[in-house]
Amino acid sequence: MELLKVQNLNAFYGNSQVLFDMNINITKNNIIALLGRNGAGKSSTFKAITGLIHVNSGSILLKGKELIKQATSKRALLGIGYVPEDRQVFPEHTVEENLDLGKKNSSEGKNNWPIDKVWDTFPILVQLKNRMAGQLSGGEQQMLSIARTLVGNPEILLLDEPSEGLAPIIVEDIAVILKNLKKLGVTILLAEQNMHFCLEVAEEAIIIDRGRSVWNGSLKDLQKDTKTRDKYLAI
Amino acid sequence: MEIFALFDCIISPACLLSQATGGLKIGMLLFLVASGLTLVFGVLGVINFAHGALYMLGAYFSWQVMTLTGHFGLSVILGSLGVGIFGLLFERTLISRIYNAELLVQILLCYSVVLILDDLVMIIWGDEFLSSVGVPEVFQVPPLFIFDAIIPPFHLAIIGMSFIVGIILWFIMTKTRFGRLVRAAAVNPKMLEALGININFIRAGVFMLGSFLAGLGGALAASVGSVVSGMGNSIIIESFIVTVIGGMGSISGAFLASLIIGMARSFGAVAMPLFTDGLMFLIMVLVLVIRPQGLMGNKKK
Repeated sequence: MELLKVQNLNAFYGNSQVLFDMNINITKNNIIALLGRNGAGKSSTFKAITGLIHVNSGSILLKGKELIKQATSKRALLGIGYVPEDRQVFPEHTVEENLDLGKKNSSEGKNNWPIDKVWDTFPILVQLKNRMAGQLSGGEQQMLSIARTLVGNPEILLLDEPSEGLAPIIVEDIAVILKNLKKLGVTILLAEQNMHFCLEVAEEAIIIDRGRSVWNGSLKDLQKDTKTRDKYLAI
Repeated sequence: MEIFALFDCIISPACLLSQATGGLKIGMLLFLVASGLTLVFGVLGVINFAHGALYMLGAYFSWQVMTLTGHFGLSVILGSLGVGIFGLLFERTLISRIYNAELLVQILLCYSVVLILDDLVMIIWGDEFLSSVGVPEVFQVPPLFIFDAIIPPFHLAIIGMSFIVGIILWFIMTKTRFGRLVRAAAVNPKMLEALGININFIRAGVFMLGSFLAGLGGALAASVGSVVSGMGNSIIIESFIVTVIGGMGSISGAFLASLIIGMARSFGAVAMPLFTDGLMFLIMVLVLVIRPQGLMGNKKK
């Protein structure tokens, strides 16, 4: 059974429709890349799943449970873990306090992310513990934002463009962390424009274009398939 | 302006000390009320015009408990807790529906509640001044004479109590999880929801705390002054001035501004007795011109 099943989702920003009959299926223990041009609807897909934008019709099933009528906070408690594109750390809270705000048990009442495991997975955060999050670099904030969502023990991580605006060397650090998370069995839906970054961490991909899902398959196939890439991803 | 009177007062230890104590008393009572107002604004984004009416309710509630039981401590505690619970109901039934409404709608709703409560207390308790609850027996002692300054011990107790409440508030906001949540909700409520926090609980809790503080201010005020319908109308203006001077949403700013206003009123009464209200507004005007975001406020995002 799919961990996350999005069916015929139609979503709106105010009066303008941003998602059209969107379909996404995610199985467990996997990293799936969500590809698409700027404005294709990657962030909107995430916001619709988390409940931050209005969904008109369709269905979002997490482990078979319908989320569509649930409030954003309830969806998070049921296992949706959202890491927004602009990180949105709390700037006047310390790193430790930011993590504390995200802390909760999984929907089954388990805690797979004791604080020691967080420090092991994100060693860079250890020495920044007492630093205000607003003073961190972009890469450090990205790590913190991912860690903050992980300590909430989500079933799935919706990771929105973690490489955006970061130096290549930092992007490499993030890739290492994502590969570690995969080994730990974390399921991630990874929205990206950076195809090279995706190739490093994910095997499968979904392409969306103008608010619709238009292609899915293995990233290796996509790499060879210049026609599809030109059609949906080339700028 | 009696500038020489002010000079004479400052060089006389007796006058200096008694005016300073008076200023502290005014300032700390004001802080109790204004901190609630600024807290509610900072987290909920609502300018609670009914905050003064909650202060009034605190005074009436504590007067009622005092009349029934004769126990001062109980009257202050039950009076302010009662207002806290009233605030919770007020937030859940009315305020929670206008978070996304226009400012004008918010102000109209709050102002209507002020008028309704002003009339309601008259129906229940009558339209005459109720005499003050009075100073509790332990404090019914001769005033202290320090450097010839006459200082009523009860005023020191009010200053002390308010100060302790201020410290507790600071502790809650900086050292507890609830405080961390409240500060985060003030900055980015959507992200907090995405992390699984039900923002409605935070809002209700903050409004309840803010109402409690207004009620506590009113309950203490009832022990030193008379209780009457509409008594919240002057305190709400002063609280707004404090909030603006300190910076909207800043509790430490409200503390600083309350002390400034308290001292301005106390020493202003010596230096320019006809201009003490004007002096308060003058300070606000100066702050608005020099530092529009308030002494401790953040620059507009």
